[in-house]
Amino acid sequence: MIRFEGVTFRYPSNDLLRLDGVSFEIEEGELCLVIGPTGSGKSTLLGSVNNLVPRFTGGTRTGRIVIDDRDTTMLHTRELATTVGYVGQDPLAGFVTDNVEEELAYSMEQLGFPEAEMRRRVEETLDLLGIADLRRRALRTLSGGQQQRVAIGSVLASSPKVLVLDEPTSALDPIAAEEVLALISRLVRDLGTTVLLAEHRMERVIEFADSVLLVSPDGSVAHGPVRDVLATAPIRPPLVELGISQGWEPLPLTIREGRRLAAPQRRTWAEHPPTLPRPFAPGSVTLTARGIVVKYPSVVAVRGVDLDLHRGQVTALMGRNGCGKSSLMWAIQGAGNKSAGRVESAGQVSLVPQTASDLLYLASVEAECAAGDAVAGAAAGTTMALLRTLVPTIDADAHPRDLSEGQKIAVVLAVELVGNPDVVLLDEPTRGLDYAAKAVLGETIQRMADDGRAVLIATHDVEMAARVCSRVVVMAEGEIVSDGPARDVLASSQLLATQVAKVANPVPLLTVEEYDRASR
Amino acid sequence: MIKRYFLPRPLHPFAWWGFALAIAVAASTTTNPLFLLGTIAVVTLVTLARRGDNPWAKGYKLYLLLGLFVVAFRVAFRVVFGGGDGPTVLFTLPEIPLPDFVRGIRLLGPVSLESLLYGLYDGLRLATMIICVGAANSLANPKRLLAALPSALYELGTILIVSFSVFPQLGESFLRVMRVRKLRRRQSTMADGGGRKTRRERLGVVETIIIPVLSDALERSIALAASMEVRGYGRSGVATGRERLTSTAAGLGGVMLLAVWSYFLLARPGIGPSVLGVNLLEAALLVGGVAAVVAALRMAGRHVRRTRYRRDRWGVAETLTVACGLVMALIVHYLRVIGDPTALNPSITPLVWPTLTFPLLAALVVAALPAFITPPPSLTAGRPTMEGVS
Amino acid sequence: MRRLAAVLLGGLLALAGTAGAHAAPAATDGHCTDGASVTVVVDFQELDEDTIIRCVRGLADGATGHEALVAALGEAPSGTIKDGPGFVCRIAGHPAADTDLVLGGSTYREDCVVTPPREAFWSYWHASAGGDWTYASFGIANREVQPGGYEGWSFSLDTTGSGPVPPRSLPTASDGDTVEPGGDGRTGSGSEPASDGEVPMGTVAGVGFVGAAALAGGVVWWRRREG
Repeated sequence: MIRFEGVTFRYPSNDLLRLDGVSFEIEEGELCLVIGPTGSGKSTLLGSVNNLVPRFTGGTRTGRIVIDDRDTTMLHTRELATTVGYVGQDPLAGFVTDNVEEELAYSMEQLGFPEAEMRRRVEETLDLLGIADLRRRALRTLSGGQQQRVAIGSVLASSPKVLVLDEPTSALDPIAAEEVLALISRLVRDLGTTVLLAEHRMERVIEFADSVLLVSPDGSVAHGPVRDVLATAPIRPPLVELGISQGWEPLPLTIREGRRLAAPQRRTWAEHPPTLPRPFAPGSVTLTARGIVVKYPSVVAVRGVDLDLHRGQVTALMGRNGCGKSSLMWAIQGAGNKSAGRVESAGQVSLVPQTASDLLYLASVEAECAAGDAVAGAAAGTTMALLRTLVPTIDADAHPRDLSEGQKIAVVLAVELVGNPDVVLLDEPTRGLDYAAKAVLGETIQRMADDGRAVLIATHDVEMAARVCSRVVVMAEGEIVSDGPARDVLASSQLLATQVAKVANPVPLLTVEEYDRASR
Repeated sequence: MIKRYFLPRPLHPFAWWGFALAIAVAASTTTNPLFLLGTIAVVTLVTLARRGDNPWAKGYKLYLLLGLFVVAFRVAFRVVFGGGDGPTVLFTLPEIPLPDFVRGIRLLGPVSLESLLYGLYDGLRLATMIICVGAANSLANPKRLLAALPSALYELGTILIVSFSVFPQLGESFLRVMRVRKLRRRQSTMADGGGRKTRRERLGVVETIIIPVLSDALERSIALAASMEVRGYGRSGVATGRERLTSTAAGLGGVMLLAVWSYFLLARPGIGPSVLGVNLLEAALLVGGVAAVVAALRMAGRHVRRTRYRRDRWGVAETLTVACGLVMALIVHYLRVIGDPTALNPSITPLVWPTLTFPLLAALVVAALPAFITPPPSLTAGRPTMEGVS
Repeated sequence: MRRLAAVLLGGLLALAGTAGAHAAPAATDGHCTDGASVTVVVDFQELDEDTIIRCVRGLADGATGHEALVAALGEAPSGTIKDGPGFVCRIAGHPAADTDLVLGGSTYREDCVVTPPREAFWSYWHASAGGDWTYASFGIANREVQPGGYEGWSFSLDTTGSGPVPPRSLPTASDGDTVEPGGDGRTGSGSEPASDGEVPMGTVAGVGFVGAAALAGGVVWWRRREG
């Protein structure tokens, strides 16, 4: 169905080849997962399928692309509208109309479908997406998962043969992500659509995939069945890591397979329970928040929350989108809207907001670091040195907006850490980061905690929380629902358990390292 | 069949605009306050009865407030400058003397009923026209209006629709950036203990607010453009050179004819024969200009292969609505040109009671008909679902 | 020039502080014979009404042309909605709202909403006794009358660019021109005088209709809110 022949792509500004002689073939009805480190050519590859990449982004592309036995190399994106559907990360930015029904019909209007046909297809798409009762709702009032489903539906309505999705669940909480991924797998099974899907958080989607396309930073790709590619890939989901380190054959891709392979080990543990790592002893309290209430005109975001943060402790703040995590963090920092409540902290409180790039507005990384030095009153170069410990390979002359997500967060962290804050709050830092970048971030956070700072991270990423955090606070509808050591909250929860925890259940082991240590 | 006629549905936007504009034109030629108040009441009745529940419909009271403001402003103006020209003095405000070289201007002083009424009549006329336009806006969803434009103007309509959604997004970006700015200021003051101003703080609004908001807007607009193109936007057909030439020529010619017609309308040179009070040359220019423009639009839109989802249909109800507006306008026009126009502009000196004669009353009743004889609007909220009924 | 003078001074500017003229002036028919009173001449020209010539006695010092005209007619002349009473649109009800004036082939009706056109307006003249008519360069609200002088009003209809025509009666008492013992105030046809104090049926009907429509609107709004 999709065939790339010797496709090479580079931007004119530098000589770096994003794609270097890429050739592969994807069969009809295949769900192909595209993986690769942050900054590799994943988005470039996905954009090339319907020619968004040279036409909307600039750059030079050579090579040939054949879709459904038709040479589409030189065609415009709009001419491929009936063949390839593309869905990006931010559905709200791509909506043209203002209610669900009209958004679904937009594509067919542009393509000139007759009116009766449009009515029929809109009804069918509403049923397929499971949003028939939302048809008249304004798009802005939908939840993230619903919006993403409408975005998928709006390209589906013209029945394309290929569906390309670029990180569709990165902005969604786990439940909404499950909805979207279930929809996608149903499309593949029931309609026979060929799907190309890029995801950082592979663990959710690996079980549905038929093949994997690994994009390396040097521009080459490796295409093959899932287990074969993952066995040698630099980034793997925790379950696969576990399988490799335990030597399991074949590599487990689903929790069920993992549990079957781990059954003997679990029986051993039932007789001789393993020693669990010592729970972390928190230091003294460095920030006290009492009775925080955050009210917006139409909704109460935080209802009377009490929270203590201890020195040296990394706390995860979890909960579904809209439960008040961000509002709570902004209120604690002080720059956000706080209707009531008291915050007492011994030292400075720093916050890294969700869109870290909002804090970066100077023309180069060098300039940002210099400004950071000036603000904190530190010697020139301190921030730059700190940044290089976080990201050694960063280019000092690059424009901050051209950096990858992980690098942006690193720059912001460096600037804030120079001021020596006592409390560091991070709002969803893991969005858009691959496993390697998350590991680096995890080390940075651990180092901050070792320095005696208190760290609070709002995140959906259970794996990250398990690796780094010693305490987990769960919020729902503006109130704290549970607050306890990470092991207690994460291992026993059905929704928030890590993959390793689900495999090792009932033994509360959270990460691959813990499992390995316990199984020796 | 009557029941089917009255099933809730939104009317074609052109029907409401035709109705409202006809009434506005009729109201603009008269100063009878009773008639104007009656027009406002009737138009409000139609709007309240037949507007939908999209956000545009809820803005009707703003137009009423604007009309009230216009009337109040005009009356106040007359009170402040020259309220005393008239036999019936109501009360006297202390006069503010002005130097001799602005002789003739008087501030405050005696206020007469006549000049208040002059201000009131004039203001009411303008307020009625504003309220009619507001009614059209509330009754006809502007997005459906843009969708109903001829295909040649489609790109223009798309620009307008997209820009409607840009402003809320810009607003959100702005709020987010302001919040981050506050964060930055707090963190920098905490860092150096609130001491000396740093270069970062002294940086202007441009860098810290405008650049992030604009680059956000740029990224979103590229994402929007990509999303539209992915779904096939921009696939208009190709017209030949000759077709383009004829459609452009017809368009320009039509616009020139309309320009000459507008000169006739405003300057009233009185050239050419007249029948029934209508200048035939004027009418010919109007008809010819409109026909040429319509032909140009049709020719330009012929190659566009776009269809419309749930297109608004023009039915009997639409024709009736426009007819009601036109009948009212015609009654007023003929009263003025052929019949007895005294009731249309009741005189102020000498002061007479404004009356609503029978033809004017009939005109108002006709204008109120669309509130009853058109299908009710279809509302989105509160529609019970049929789950459980197989 | 005419427009500039009329618009500037009518509607925005006011009488120069003589609104409370209390000495009631009296008007009698015919030219004035003494040197302290003012003669007002109103020539309807093509409107086919008899010329009004009245002598106004007892005007206060510094009385304006407006006051002289009001005294002569017994009622105020009509102004326009746009310019206010400062621009004279109808004198003694003429031209009436339903009079068809023929302007260059098309029919025009004066509704006194905007400034009348230059082919059909009331022109304002003044003269001293025995002199020639001079076109007034100030509006009626700003010009003080000359005791013993003449105030002239002439309705110009469709003059072919040569300018407005002065009243046909000459400003000399010896001119034995027609003196009409005109009646008091020719009221325009169809308008009900407010002086008899009775509210006409049409007004009651109008107020009733507006009220009913407002009530219906309220009912509709309430039901929409509930449902």
